[in-house]
Amino acid sequence: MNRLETRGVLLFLALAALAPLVITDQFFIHVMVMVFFYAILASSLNLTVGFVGELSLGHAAFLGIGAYASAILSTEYGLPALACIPVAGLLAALAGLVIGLITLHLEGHFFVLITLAFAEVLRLIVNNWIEVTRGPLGFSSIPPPRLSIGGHVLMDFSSRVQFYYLALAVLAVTIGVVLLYAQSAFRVGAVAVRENRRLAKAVGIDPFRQALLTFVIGAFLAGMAGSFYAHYITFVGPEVFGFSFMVTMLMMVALGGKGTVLGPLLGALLIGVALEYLRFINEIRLSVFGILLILVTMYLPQGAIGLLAWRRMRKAGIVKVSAVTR
Amino acid sequence: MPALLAIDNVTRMFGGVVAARDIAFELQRGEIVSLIGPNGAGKTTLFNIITGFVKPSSGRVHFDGADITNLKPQQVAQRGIVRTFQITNVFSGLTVGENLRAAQYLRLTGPFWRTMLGLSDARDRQEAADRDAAELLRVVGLEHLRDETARNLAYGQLRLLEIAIGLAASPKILLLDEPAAGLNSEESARLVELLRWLCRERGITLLLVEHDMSVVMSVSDRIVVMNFGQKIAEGVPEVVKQDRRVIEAYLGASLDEDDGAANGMNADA
Amino acid sequence: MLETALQFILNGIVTGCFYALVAVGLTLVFGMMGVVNFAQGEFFVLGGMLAYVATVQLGLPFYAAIPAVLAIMWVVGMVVDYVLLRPMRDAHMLSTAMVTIGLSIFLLNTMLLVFGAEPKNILSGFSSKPIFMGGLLITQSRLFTIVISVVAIIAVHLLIAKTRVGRAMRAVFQQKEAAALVGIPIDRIYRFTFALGTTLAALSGILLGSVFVASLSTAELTTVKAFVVVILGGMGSFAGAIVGGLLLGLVESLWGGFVSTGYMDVIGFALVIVLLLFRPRGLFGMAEARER
Repeated sequence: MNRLETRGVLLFLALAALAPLVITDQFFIHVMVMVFFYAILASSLNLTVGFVGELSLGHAAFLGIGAYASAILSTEYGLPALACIPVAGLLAALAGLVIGLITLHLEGHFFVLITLAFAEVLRLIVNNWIEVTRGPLGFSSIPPPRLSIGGHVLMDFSSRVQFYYLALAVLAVTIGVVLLYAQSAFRVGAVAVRENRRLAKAVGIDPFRQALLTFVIGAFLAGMAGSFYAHYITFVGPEVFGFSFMVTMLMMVALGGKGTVLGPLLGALLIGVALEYLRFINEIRLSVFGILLILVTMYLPQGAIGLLAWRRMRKAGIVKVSAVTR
Repeated sequence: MPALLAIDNVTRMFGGVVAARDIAFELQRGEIVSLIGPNGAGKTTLFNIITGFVKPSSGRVHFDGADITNLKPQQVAQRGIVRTFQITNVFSGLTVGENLRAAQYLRLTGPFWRTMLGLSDARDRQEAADRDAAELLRVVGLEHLRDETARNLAYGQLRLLEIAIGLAASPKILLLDEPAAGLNSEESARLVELLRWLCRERGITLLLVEHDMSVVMSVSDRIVVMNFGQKIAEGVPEVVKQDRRVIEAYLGASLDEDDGAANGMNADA
Repeated sequence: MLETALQFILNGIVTGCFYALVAVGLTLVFGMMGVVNFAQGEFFVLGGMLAYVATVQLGLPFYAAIPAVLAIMWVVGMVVDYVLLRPMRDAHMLSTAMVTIGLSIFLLNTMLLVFGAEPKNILSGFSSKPIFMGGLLITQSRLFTIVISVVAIIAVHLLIAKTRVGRAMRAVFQQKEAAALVGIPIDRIYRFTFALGTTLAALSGILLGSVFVASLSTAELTTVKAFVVVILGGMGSFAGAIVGGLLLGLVESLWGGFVSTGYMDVIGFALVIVLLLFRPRGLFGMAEARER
């Protein structure tokens, strides 16, 4: 974590906050809302994949839990949407705690597989537990948020721009949490475990607790993203647990640069924009993604941010890529 | 005063092989003790048992009066017993400074919110830790390499970094597994100085596994000798090197302090 | 009641054969190369799709289509290993996993473009008239599946146990460095192993397609279930993959028959999650331990 990166993150947020003043195109606004949504997801996944160095393929489960919690709480219990977002985050964090307690004891490969199995189990349950989840039909007409003070409605979220700022607010919270984490001793502990598990234990770091803490924070953030998604799209079905969300966020983390704060944001921007604007190649889009994921992993393991850092250092005459961002 | 560390009749079998049999000895506060013996004598196994990486088949380990036999490695370290590894073990992807930061993890973390938010006490801890890390780097002579990635260090520098990592974890006892292996005579001399300084200035109790007899003889208060998983001798250096069983264990090489004998022992060990 | 149960068991054995073949391929590749192949389910489906092309579009007879498809899949496996895995031999497990995930995404979506989403029939030429054995009934294609699976598993076992390649594979499995020292071409052994794993998955896909239909929608679930089997059996264990595969097939069939078909696919995962709670290294627990 360096100053350059913090500045990059703040610049990203500042530009995002000002953009709607200049560009009013509705489609652009929609694209950016999705970019923010993906940025939250990618940042939350990056905590476990990038800092702890464990590949969790079950992260979509937390997105799904957040989305379903919000859908059920707002349509059946009338909870206001703005209250749903943190509540959905907390429920996802609770699920993260339970799943983490079970799975984080497992060795690398087992962890990858079992997190995938967990997401799959949840998807199948949501598909079959019709009394609670309405099965494959899912929830539609999920109410939009309302912001009012003393009966006076400030924002009713009838326009996209209001959603834009809501998404940006949740993203800002996410980035805040990730920045705090990245600057705290927790990141140091996580990176130590990733680099050398034996030595980390010998100096008193508990790998399990370290990973669990990070995993739960990630689940919380992904749950909030899911809740936002439910209220923005107004429809939630079992596919939120599906592998395609998982793949998309993994791509964003890999392409942007794992183990950094700015990387997932960059990845979400690049891929989010490509996803929405390249709709005309919709059909071959995922094939291209697959190839891209392979190429990035093989030839650009530090992601776009690694490329930036490397060029910068080469300019300064130091050809050395900081391994912290590995 | 009770011993700081007490190993009570520890035995460890791997399959049918006895790696350590009925080992018993004690470490007093502020002592430097060396564990010597030919390869395969069970020294590293004993290290693993003390630090919780391996559980003994029988016997107990007590630290500061408490039974630590069944603790996990990180719990043992949290109580103040920190080790280095025989094969160079650092966080190779991190810079030298970050290596120490990682080792200071325990004192940098507090309750969740305080740690996350970096509140004032966390910041104070941070500053104290930074000062301490700077001092450690100066002591081991790596301060000019603070921002260098560890994997770019020379071998001798890595061994020193390992010790600095161990120290950064604020140990009461530091267990060093062959710290002088691969060092040249100048570096070894520096190591001896460093070990004495640690003991004197920081009050750290040291347990070494070491093959380099010039290092062992010059720093140790006491020596424990192992062979074939058993303790065969224990005492001050002058006594141990006259012990007939010790000499036999080293294939009859005499244990005079001259270099020739020490090298002979090295070759056999 | 007893007859119904026996019928479910028989059905479970057939399903278990599909799982076992896919899982044996997966476990060999993992045990030998330390690679978790997330594209195994796609290889499985690709086998079925190619068999559809061969039997329906090209009009080849089933018995000729099988070896032709297997040969193609063998080459596919070799190429994938050469292009994607060989450069990643020393890479971190996370990176290799990402590469195979990328491959699975590419294969699945490209197959979707080429073949479309609707399931495909494979013309096996078997009569759909069931054979009665005692009170049990079994179709010709199911009987064929069991026979071919047993033959394939015995063949792979003999290959590993008796041949020169098999000896080399075992040597690499046990001691990679030593194997390299005595002149075993490790890279070629890896390629052979991966091609074998690919081909076994494809065989399973062909057989399943001949019993039911070949469908793209099964790819992801097949990969995940093969993982379940491999975990149940212990990672890298050949016998474990077979036992685990049959076990999963039986449990699913009995659960689906007596309890609920809706949750049939969940039971395997539930089983593996519960198992890992008590035995973190699988039933036959020979996989590498993580130090704690």
